[in-house]
Amino acid sequence: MATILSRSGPFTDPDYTPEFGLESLVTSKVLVLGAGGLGCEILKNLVLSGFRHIECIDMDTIETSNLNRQFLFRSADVGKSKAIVACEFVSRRLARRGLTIVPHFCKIQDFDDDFYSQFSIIVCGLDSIEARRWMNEKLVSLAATTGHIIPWIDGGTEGFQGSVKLMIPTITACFECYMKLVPVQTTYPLCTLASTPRLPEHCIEWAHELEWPKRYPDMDFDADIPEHVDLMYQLAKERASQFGIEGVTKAKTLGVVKNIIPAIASTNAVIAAACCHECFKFVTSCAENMRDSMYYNGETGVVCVSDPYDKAADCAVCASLPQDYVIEEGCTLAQFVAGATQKFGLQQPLFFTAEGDLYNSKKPDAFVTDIPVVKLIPFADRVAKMQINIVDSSSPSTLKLVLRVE
Amino acid sequence: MNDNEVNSKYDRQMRLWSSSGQKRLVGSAVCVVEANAVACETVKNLVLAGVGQIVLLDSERVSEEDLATNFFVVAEDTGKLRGECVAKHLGELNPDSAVLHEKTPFESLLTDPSFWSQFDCVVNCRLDPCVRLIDLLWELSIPLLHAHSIGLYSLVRLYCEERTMVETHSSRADDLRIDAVWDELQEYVDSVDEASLAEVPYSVLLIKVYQEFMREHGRRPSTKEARQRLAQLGDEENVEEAIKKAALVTKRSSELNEELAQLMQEKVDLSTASSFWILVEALKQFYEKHGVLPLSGSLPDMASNTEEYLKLQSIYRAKHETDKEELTKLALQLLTQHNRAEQIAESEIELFTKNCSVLEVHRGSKKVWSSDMLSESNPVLQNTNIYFGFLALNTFYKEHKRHAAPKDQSEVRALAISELCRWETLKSFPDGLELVLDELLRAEGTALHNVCALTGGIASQEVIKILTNQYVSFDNCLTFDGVRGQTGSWKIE
Repeated sequence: MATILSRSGPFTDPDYTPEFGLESLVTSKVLVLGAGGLGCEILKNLVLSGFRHIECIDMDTIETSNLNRQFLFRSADVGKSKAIVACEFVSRRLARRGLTIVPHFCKIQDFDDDFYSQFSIIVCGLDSIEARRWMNEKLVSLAATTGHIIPWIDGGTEGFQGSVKLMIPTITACFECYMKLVPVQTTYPLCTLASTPRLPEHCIEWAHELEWPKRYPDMDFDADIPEHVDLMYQLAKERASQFGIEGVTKAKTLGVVKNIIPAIASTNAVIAAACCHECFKFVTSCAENMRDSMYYNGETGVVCVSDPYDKAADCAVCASLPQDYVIEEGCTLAQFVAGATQKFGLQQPLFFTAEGDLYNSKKPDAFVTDIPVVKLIPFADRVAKMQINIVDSSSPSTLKLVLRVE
Repeated sequence: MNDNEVNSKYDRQMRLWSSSGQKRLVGSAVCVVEANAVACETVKNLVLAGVGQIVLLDSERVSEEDLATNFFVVAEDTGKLRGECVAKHLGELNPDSAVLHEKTPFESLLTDPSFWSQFDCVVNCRLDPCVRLIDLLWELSIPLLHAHSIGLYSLVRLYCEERTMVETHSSRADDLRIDAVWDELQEYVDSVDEASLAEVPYSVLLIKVYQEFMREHGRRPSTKEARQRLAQLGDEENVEEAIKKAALVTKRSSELNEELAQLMQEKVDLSTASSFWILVEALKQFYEKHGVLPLSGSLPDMASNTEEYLKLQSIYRAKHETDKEELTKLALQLLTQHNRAEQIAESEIELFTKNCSVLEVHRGSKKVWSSDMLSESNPVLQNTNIYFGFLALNTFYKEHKRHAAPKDQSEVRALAISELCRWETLKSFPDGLELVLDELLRAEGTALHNVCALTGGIASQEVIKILTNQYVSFDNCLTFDGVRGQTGSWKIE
């Protein structure tokens, strides 16, 4: 790492200096989300990449089925906090000058803007889509409201497959922009479960969805209590034998009720390493970053490709954010309209505020355009107090601008 | 996976390779040459997966570079035998796995085939691909992986004469045999009257429409024609599914995919060939006789009432059993014809029959280089450049006993040209190769942990595919480009 950073390479930014690379590494503060399959790898990778200030959040405790890949945990650790055990292990093994790793045994939702704002970059190895969407909204709104942009790199795996996304809030596609690529979870029609089961899965879902609440109205099912799983398995087995369906096993029962996703050490290693490698390049500038997202599949041969990914024009999180737009003191409405039309590639735009139309390019004569913009809308501290909205055939969403005079 | 294994530490991986795959891992022995970061990251993933025995062959001592890139050494290990230190830390990851250190120098073991023959797979993590090791293991029929990383780049290469893969886990469509119905299935289809049409799986509707159309027109229907007829059957769920799947009426059950057709044409000496090839020959005879492959026997889920679905399922399963028995007979005949005393396990024939339409065979190469790899038409030229860069750096290292640095730029370029001319007629320096060489020189032989971890991840995954003999191996060379964040893989013939 020191050798690579001590020189420029052919793919390094021309402004790169070794001092910058090394200095950025030791001063950057990195937040790791998740201390599970990806998280354990990420913590190890970041320290061995030269990062010195790391914090890690994970709300989970260690389970036996984690041990085939979460290599910072041993059988004796089952039941303890993942974040605490993982951070302590890495601090001990990789003890080096200036290294601090702080664990947080809680939910990511427990922290506020001030907490997140202290980090230079986030590496994320969460297993829940919902938690990632929460994080995404938080980071995009932080960037939009305070201008504080925290890049984050998200990894995900399933069996032999995985992906990495490099996201710079408000600048590149956000997590929500990728949501249309997320496959929908298999669900079974209720009538199949209720009257025409054919697969063992149908019998298990019947037990889970329909029969359990009837049979045990006062007991909420908890997949982590072995007795509950046994009872559920019995229900599913009875159902299956009633219909002559084969193949209900306890393993399958658990797989269905817990929605278990297969996970292996090798895929986690590949994806976590790719995440940390991008983090290392981003912070040190020692080489270009990959474009936007990477996809990995090791099932048949080895496929690992990275591709640009565009912001979704209709993204519910990042497409409708107001953007900063700088104008000069005396900028007239005509100059502003011409500038914005060119910058955003508009065709026949309508400019309006909460108080009404500012300019409509279909009826240019209806507006006086040689008046400075600062006279048309109220300003305070050189920033417009009113947002300008633009609708145009070039985009399905409304463009929102906050004007600033410089 | 049986119920005792629920909640076991291997639960999440046995959902991929099942208990049969896990059993093979537990019974396997792997040798890893060199105990650098790529090697240790590879071993880490193998130990976690439960591979029974791993031997680390290494005679170096722990250096500053190791401390900077390797998770399995600590500061106090400096100067100690590296293999011993990492074996201790790697062994702690899983009590089911034995990680041993072998300190005999690598070179002296190259004359000792008995050392190597105890392993199911060998991973060489040195910069040098080592032609002598490749030759030796090729003779012993032991798969060899070569994996190494410098700076932002890495390479993984597989040297293995032949890989025959049955459990490929291919997701290709189920075999419903719409156009090749057998007696029992025909009987069932005929027994379905108009009143019960809404109760049966869509495949029955497709068969009915197909047969009706054939009777009327003497040819098979197009997807559109099938859809038009299906639409008249109502709007039940099974009809909707049938309309979605209508293209299946155009699928010819007699058609073999190209790979399989080629496989059946291979000339193999059956007096010595593995059971796989006996079964392929039996498959060929079966196909020549019946015009279709043995039935896999699995049905997709289809909307229908339980009873009808189970009836249909048992018809497909029964046919699968009959076909399997016939294939078994053919295989036994072949064994007798070739004076072979051994048997083929029933479980092997079952797997083979289930997967006979998705078999894969790779034929490897011992060559380090094949011509035309740097041509402009190569779609992964940048990755091939990286591979070539590693070869050039290895040659430099052998000559100078040190890693090439930026100051060696002109020498390395000249050396690259002369190396290349041994294999190719070059009009000019290949596109992009100079930049790749410069990037490699920048690292001066040092590694980045992340690139090592990624490379170890890929290498361990490929070892697991070899040991379990499940899924499909890469074939047979790849490099990782840490600038673009992607791999490119190609075959060296």
